[in-house]
Amino acid sequence: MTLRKILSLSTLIAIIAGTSCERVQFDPDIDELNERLPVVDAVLGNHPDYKTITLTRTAPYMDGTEVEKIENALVKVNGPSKSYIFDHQKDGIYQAPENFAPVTGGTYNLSIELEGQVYEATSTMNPPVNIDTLLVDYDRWEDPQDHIYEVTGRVKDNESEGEHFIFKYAVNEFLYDSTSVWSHYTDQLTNNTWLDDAIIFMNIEAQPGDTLDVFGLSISEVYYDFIQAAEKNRIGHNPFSPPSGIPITGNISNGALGIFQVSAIVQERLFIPEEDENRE
Amino acid sequence: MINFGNKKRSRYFADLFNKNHFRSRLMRTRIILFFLVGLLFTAHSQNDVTISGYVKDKDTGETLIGATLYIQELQAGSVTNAYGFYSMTVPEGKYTIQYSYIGYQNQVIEVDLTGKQTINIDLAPKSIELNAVEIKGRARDHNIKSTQMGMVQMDSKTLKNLPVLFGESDLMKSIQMMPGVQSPVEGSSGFSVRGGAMDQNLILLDEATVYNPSHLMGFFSVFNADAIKDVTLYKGDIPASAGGRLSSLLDVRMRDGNKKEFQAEGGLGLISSRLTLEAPIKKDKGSFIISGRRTYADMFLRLSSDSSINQNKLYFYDLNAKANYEINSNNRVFLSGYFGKDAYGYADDFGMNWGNATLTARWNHLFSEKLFSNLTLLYSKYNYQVEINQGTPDYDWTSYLENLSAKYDFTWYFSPSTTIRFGGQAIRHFIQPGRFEVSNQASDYKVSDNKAMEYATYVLAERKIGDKLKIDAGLRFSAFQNIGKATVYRIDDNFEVTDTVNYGKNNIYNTHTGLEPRLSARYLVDEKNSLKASYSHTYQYIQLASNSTSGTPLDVWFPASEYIQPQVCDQLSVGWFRNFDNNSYEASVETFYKWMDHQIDFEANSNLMLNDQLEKEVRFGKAHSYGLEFLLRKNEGKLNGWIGYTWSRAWRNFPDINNGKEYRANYDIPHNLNIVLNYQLSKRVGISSAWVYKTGAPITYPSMRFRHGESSLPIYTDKNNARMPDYHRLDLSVIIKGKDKPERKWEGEWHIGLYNAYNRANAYSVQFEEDPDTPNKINAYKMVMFRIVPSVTYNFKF
Repeated sequence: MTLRKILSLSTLIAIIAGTSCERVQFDPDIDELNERLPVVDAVLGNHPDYKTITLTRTAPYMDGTEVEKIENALVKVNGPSKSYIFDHQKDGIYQAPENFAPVTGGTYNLSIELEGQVYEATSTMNPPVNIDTLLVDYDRWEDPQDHIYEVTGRVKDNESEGEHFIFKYAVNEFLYDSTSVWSHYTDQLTNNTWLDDAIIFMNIEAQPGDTLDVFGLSISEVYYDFIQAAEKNRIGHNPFSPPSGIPITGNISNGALGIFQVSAIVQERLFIPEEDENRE
Repeated sequence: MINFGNKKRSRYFADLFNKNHFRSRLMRTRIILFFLVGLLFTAHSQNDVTISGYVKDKDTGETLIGATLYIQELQAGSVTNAYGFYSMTVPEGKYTIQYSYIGYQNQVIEVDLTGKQTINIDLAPKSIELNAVEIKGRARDHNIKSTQMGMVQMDSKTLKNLPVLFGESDLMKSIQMMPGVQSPVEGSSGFSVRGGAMDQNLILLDEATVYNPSHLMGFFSVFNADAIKDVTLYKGDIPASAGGRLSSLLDVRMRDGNKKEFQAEGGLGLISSRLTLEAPIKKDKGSFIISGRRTYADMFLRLSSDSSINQNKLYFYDLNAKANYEINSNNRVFLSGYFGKDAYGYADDFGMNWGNATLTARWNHLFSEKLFSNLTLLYSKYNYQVEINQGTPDYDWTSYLENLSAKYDFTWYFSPSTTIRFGGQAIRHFIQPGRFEVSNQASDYKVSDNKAMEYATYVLAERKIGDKLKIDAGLRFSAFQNIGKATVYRIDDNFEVTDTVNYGKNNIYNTHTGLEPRLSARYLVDEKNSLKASYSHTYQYIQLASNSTSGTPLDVWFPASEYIQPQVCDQLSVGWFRNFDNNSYEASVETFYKWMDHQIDFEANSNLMLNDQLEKEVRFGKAHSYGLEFLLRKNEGKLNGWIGYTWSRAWRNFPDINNGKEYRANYDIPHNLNIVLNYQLSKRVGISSAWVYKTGAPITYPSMRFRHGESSLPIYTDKNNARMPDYHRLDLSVIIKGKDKPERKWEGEWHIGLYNAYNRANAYSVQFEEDPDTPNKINAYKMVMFRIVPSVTYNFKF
């Protein structure tokens, strides 16, 4: 057999082998629990879109049941100088009063009274991330015809060490509010350093002319760990590892889940460029 | 200067006394010393004479490890050591001595011993007709006669015959087919021995430590079967001459090279090719061997017109080289090395590479026909580098560890019934856990270096007591010292840093010591039956910072310290060994129990990379494992192979993990069955099959979920509360040799393989995802890495 034939055969076999990697749906026979623990989703900030707290309950993992909303709680946030009562609007969403305007450096205490139990948490609003410039362009890994975009920017943390941030985006004011699309960033390796051309988002589906709002939130280490744990559970330590089974630990007392976070928020609006402009 | 510190010292003594460990340790040590001293006081006759020499392969001059000589008249024998040397002291007289080694023709000589005598023997390999598919290896009844238990041996021919993934012979996958050896992840080179962690295996290549035995994320091992002579895995009864890991010793010896004539061999495989050249430096005096491999999938990727494919790179290469020279009958020198590298990247945007390097220089010296010595200088290195050049600034992340070691081992063939081994070793460890450099910025981040010295000295006596009983008693003393310059973080009970202490350059700021008794005994019930028992106490002073099941190339090692106590293990095992049909069949049943203390795990959401305060993430606890191992093996005949079954459990108990409740170790795999069969259809055609079944590895499944934003997030209750689906697979291979023509030097053979022949969808990992169409519904997926994988390899030799 000639070398050419050997290589042809090898290539064919390699293709067969390569296509054998696949995902197969199966029933893992999970021992699901049916406890209904309170869950607090309270990310607040100095931005009009961050004035609500959502209260729900846990649900069995795989059965598809809707999470139950908590509509009968008394929700209060005590700021450095004032207390704020959050009123229930609908579907477990509690709205801050108009005068709720958290300030950098301020410490806020959350208190939720529910069915005779009190759930509490504390958060301090850290300084905002510094954004010098943001640019939107075609995602470098995708075909431009697919209209998939990335956002890069020149950003910097502040002088103090141990700062953490997350970035979210909204296309045409629709917020993609899932941990899987957020970016998170710590100053552990690059404290007080301008990061040029930092890749903030990739794989954004949009069309030329769409608005793209980028939100930068300063967050606590606890919330940063919470998001990291969520991400590790989603993708594992590497693409070939199973979910890591890392508990996603928040900061709510008395056995409730979730997070209370008060953030300094910066928003930048970008426009998806028309095709001709973008190609430059 | 040794600076124990008050807290450290008090904790140390409290640990010793409060747990009553000190008394039991002292007792164990006394017992071993009693044996050692007792064994030394052995009188032997003034008329005794010593025969010694080397046993080699007649065709290549390669020394044979574990070959036996047997003196019929005395019904006594000896075994060659790792350098093919033997020595035996017997009364003066006329004897018939038989030299044997599986896969070779026996050689019988008659001698009249009136004084010391050197007898070097060249054994001829059996021809194919004689050999059928006979597996080469130790003496046929070595498993019965030796005291050693919990041992797996494999030679290069066995390795090459086994059906394997992509047709690439793989030592690490092959030993996973033996009882007591588990791999929780398909295709991984990492392995667990008797419930131990992956980093508790000491992997040596020509005595140099290999820190990461994996290529391509574990799908291939760093060991090139063409360059390997002999592999021995000690699963528990680790000789006192070795230490530094709790669970096992994998001792891989490279071939010396052909001392008779030039020889080349190689293979063209599906994803890699390899070439080995060997030749005499001076005929019968010295030789060299060079063996290299490289994968070439990346070369095919370049042919793609798709820029997202053709700019990818993913390959590995490695090179083994060795030279040896016999200066005279008393002095031999060896120089061997390994260098391997993996590279992964995309265009110039991203690059990652990692690899091992080892270097071994050895001097065998015979002080007398009874005193064999080996002086070894060793160097090992593992490093990785990650480069990100996508934006500005560029990033460069590097890490490495290296050790430099000197080792001197002596074997004293003291009397006909007693052999004493002794020696010592010093190792200098240097670990740079991570440096993160940002180009054109003054913000480099560097994790503090770790420097340490590890010392060990040992004595081991092997003693026959009567015809039935043989005892090996060993004592190893090890010490470990952390050396400045260093920044040490003091941690409180909440795992927060309370103090930072800086130590100056070369300041010895912490010392750990350990006495490691080892004891094994064999009782020969009859020529075909033996009972064995062993006990070992081992210490481990460096460990891997990894919280993944299979390990990654970016994992770093870190040392014991003021805060991190050395890991300790006690293992007790008992076994019954039985041969049948003139030693054609070997059967054994072994049971073991291991107690491990100062075990290490990590905080659930810990970040172990580039972490200067790793101590905050470390959690301490205990572990224990136990099991039963069955092996039935046929080493010769047209049909040969083995059936191995292991039932075992492995548990961990950490006060700060899983709410203090005991949980399954990642490698707790209760049932593991391996059936390997080889059949020689004709002189030219042989077939092999391997079937493996094992219980699914432990995994942590969520029990509930909660909403955060638009995300549905999992809630876990107990760690490792579930199992992956059970795993089973059949592999097949056919080996077709070229026609044998006496005038032709070229020998060729085709290896055609089928991995996972019945196309089983085994789970490599499990992932959960939200159903795209049904809100709140979660679907589970198993990631199937390898369905049926055919392979073809052409091997040649001339």
